[in-house]
Amino acid sequence: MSEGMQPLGGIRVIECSTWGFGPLAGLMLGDLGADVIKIESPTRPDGARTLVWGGGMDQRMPDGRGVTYETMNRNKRSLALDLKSPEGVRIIKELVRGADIFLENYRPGVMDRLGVGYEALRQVNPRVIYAAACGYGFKGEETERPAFDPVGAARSGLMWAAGTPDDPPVWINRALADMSGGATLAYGILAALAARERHGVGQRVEVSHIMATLWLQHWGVGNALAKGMDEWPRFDRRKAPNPMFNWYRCADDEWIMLSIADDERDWPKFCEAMGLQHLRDDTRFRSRELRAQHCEEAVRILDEVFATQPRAAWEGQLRTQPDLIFDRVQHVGDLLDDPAVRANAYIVEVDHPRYGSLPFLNHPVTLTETPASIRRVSPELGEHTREVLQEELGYEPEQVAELVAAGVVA
Amino acid sequence: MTTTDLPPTAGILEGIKVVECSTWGFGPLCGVMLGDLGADVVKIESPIAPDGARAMIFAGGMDLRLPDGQATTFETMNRSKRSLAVDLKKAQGVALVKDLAKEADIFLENFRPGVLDRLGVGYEALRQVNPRIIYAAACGYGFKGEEVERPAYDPVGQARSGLMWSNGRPGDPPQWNNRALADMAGASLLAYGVLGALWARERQGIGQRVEISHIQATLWIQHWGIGNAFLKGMDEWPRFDRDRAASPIANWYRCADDRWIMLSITDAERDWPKFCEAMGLQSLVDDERFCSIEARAKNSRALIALLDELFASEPFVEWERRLKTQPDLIFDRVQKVGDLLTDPAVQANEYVVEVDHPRYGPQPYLNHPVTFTETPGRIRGVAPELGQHSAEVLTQWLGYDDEQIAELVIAGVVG
Repeated sequence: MSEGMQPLGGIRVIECSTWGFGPLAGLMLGDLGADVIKIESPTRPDGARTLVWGGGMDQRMPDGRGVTYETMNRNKRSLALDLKSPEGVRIIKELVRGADIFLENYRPGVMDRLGVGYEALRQVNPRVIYAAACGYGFKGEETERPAFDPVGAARSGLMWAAGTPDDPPVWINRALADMSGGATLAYGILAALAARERHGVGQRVEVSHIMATLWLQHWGVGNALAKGMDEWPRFDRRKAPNPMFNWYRCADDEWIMLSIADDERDWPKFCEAMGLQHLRDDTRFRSRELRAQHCEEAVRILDEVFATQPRAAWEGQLRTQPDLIFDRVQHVGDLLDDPAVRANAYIVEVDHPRYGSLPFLNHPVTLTETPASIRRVSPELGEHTREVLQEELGYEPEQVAELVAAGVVA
Repeated sequence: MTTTDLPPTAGILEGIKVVECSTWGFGPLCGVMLGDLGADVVKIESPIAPDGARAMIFAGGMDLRLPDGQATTFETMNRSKRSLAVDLKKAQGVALVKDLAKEADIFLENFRPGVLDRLGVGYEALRQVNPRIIYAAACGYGFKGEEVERPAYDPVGQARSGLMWSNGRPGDPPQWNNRALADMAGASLLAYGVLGALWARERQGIGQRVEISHIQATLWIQHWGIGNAFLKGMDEWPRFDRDRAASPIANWYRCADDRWIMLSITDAERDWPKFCEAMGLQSLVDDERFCSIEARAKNSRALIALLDELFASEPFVEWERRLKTQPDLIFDRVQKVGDLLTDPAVQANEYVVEVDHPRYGPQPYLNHPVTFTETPGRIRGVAPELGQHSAEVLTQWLGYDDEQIAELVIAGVVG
């Protein structure tokens, strides 16, 4: 496909960001065809490159490199540049002059002190969109506090939403605050591009861990706020008021999730499909209110029923009633063979120069005419330094060599 | 760049018209986001079988009724929109929606794939009347494969994507997260996709379909864990075990007042001495059991037991005070929803705003999730009553007069 048919073909992004929040936003823009140039210090690059432990997991690829860097930086070019040198600052400004978007997730104030904050960059490019991520938002006393994903999870209430009702707070080991932060920031950047096109303004776009994680929980948090509740409690499967909106263990130790929300309509269908015709008119269960009233009994009965057959058998029975909403509860390892994942290419194989063919998550949105694509894997540190300086800024090879010798670029 | 020519409330999408045929959470929250940005979002519902969220009184184990019996999900998921009640099962209703689509930039739907095609307002029908239209569609399983037409709700995304096995402690059964994370992530990503398609239309002059599913969206918010597991060839990215955390200073602890503190000290090499200093654990800095990343990983249970005991000896605020003496240390309190309204960062950044609701008075709402310094998103109105804006929209968009509207109402096409 030609570069021109990518939605963001011709858009240039300068990314000064590390770990997950900023990098995922840059990755999403890169997937859509933007030219994303990732700037890292030659001596202190993105910590994700060398992370050993994260989320309780060994973060090393077989050759010792950090897996998080590989996951979060596809479709980018790497320019290693010392931002603490005046030359480095000058080069950034030259790049920003020709850029559409500047993306950073340093602690608020850091870029300003280096001389490449929003005020400095809008001087050289009034139309630049300056996208900034932080933990606590850009107002208030905590603005300059450093943060990682768990701050968003802790502060937004997500840790008290994770887990079973009896659990202490739980951190979900998938970096949901970073990931929803990155996605929400990418959304904000596209909106700011639209604003620039339609209203002629560049601007700052800001997202924090706290806000992004609240937004991800909008249904529960928004409803709790509207109802004046102090908590939107964790779901207790033993007391599910609608026993058909609950999950059950099957005979083969696999779990099935029922999501039959239209319970008035579907109770007879469910009983029929499950071979539980005798429960259909059971005086304990024949209406929504009765099922809620006798929910613990209903869950107990269904626990016993589901435990008598393997999951595949129940799937077959439930599918005889096409309106019933249910699915199997999968592990990561089930995804590669998942028929919907395969049919929709949600996971694609990418040939990695170091590791060979590897599965990558595809772009999260399908655009039928201008699809996103994975065009390159995460770059080596400084892999494109020469290319960017020479081709984009018109530097001579000798100038680049001088900058390398001076330790400004690598 | 001066922005003085912009009215202070100009929305980014001012003048963009959205026709929304969607229900529950996935499609509607996407419409909210576009509406917050200033788009004119007209929500189409059947006068006789409207969005089920209006009448949903139990879900996720919760009573969803507001004091007057109205369902809170509809209120939460439909601000910044207008309501037009049209019966799509009548030929006149179909013609009406096509007329609206002719005027619109975006058509947004989350019906089961195939339903709107059968009604005559699917993508093929609408692009005939408006080739530049962006048709945004959400479903459970994606639009290819054998499962396309299966119905789905949020739990399908959570179950199928692996989220239920990541939610909880090791040893727990799978657990559905009671915040509809699949619906919410799906909506945000669909809004992102719609903006991508708007840009493509601007640049390349083409309309297109934008598609997303529960499975796809829920995978994406887990990208860190799932993407890493794939690259490492692992069958699971296991749940976090706080009792064996490899880095005990990236872990959570219960304080004396039963509040929990979350430590997220990832730069462990640099920060271990600072942490010991702040906590009054100077004796541990050079303790050979704990003095390196590897040593702490090896002896994590011992260190966690020690920290469990220590944190339990003082209330949260005392630990907060001590840890703040080292500004590089990343940590925070573990909050509940009830803590949000008095949270200083939430207040300073207006993450929750009061909106005056005609039925309920001032109510706290989650603000738009992105801050735009020049063209802010804002809540443009509470969720509409069914058909509240039927006449207004037909007049403004299509130039209908009162008589024509009355006829449609009498015929039961519009409510």
